[in-house]
Amino acid sequence: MIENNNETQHPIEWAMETDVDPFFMLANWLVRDAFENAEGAIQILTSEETSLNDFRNLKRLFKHLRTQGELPADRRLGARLYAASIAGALVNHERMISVQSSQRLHEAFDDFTKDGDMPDSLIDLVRKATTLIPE
Amino acid sequence: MVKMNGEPDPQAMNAKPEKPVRQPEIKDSSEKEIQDWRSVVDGEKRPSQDSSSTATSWTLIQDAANTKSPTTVTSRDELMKRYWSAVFAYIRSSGRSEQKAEDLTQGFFCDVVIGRDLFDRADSTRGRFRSLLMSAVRNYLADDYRMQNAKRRSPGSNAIRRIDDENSGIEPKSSETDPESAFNIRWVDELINRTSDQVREQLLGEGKVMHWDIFQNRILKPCLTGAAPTPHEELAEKWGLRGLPQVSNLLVSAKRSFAKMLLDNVRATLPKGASASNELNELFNALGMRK
Repeated sequence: MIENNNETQHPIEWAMETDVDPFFMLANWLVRDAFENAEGAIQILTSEETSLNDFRNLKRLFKHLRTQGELPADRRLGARLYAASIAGALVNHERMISVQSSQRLHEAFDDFTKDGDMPDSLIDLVRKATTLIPE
Repeated sequence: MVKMNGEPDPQAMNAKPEKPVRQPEIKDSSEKEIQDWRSVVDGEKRPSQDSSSTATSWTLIQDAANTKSPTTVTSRDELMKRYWSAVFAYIRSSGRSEQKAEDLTQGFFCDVVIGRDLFDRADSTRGRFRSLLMSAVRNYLADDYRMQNAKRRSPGSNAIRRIDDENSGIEPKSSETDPESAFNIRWVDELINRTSDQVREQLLGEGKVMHWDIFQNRILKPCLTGAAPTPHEELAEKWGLRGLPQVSNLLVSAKRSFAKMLLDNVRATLPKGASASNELNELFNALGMRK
């Protein structure tokens, strides 16, 4: 019989997210697997509580999705959230966690803000980060 | 601060120069990519389903109802296998002894499901098969109760009643679980176990042994047995992977396969157009497993 350690939630409940939020599902699962008590990708990327070290780890996690994702759309999502991780570190810690050129970052952030699948909260984060890119 | 599972070395992550954010393979942000991804989630790219164990419930039900079909017996067997434990749990939770519940479960499948052509009465446009089955079991138990009472009132001239006939096998309930919940719990268990078997077969068939092993050790075993998930580092070492990010990425890929298969399996028991996640949601609500 299926174990249910959490009396209020079935252990397979995450499966329903494929219908509820299919686009961000993979990112949310990744974040929840990698970080204890994380709610989801958007929450951790936009939270002021997220440490610089966490942003580095997020960047690493999404970098893998960007390069090794199963589907083209997974890789695209990975690239966007990889950029968002860099943006989060810039906005919340005023630290650059990437060695990319300013021009590359501007391009990545610009692409991000034009992507209609990205939520407003992340677009706001990336817009703020754009103003903080060192020249 | 949120603790990262596995605690990778942050210094090591920046040891190598970063690659550009935009790489050739991700430049194309056309709708095609999104379609490609969503088509997998929405189930357009389905694995072939050619054996009875992977056939949808409605396909099986139609085949089981068709007495001229050469596979009607196989389809009936498969359906009985899928629903046996749920029906047994319903009957057992209604207060019958274990032995009596086994006999009644056997009797239900023989007398009602086969004898009264329950498969023939099932209609995918009218409702869930699960609901039809549960309603049929309820009626069967009511009939059995009436019959046992009638026997007690008219024992016949030469009837010598056994002591255990006194209560028709009905004993005080051994648990607080009501019959409907007991049925649903077993049905969900069967669904998850069947889905696990299918995903295992699919992933191993695609040569994704690592995906399956990681999914099994981080998700499935903890879910089925309550064991702690195997740490990322252990799995990374076992498979020669580059730490947590690679383990997590392989895991979510397998997780998506499982979720898709699970929802496909649920959808296969519903009327056309009904939402599989709503059905699961209702089931979890009924089982008191929602926040």
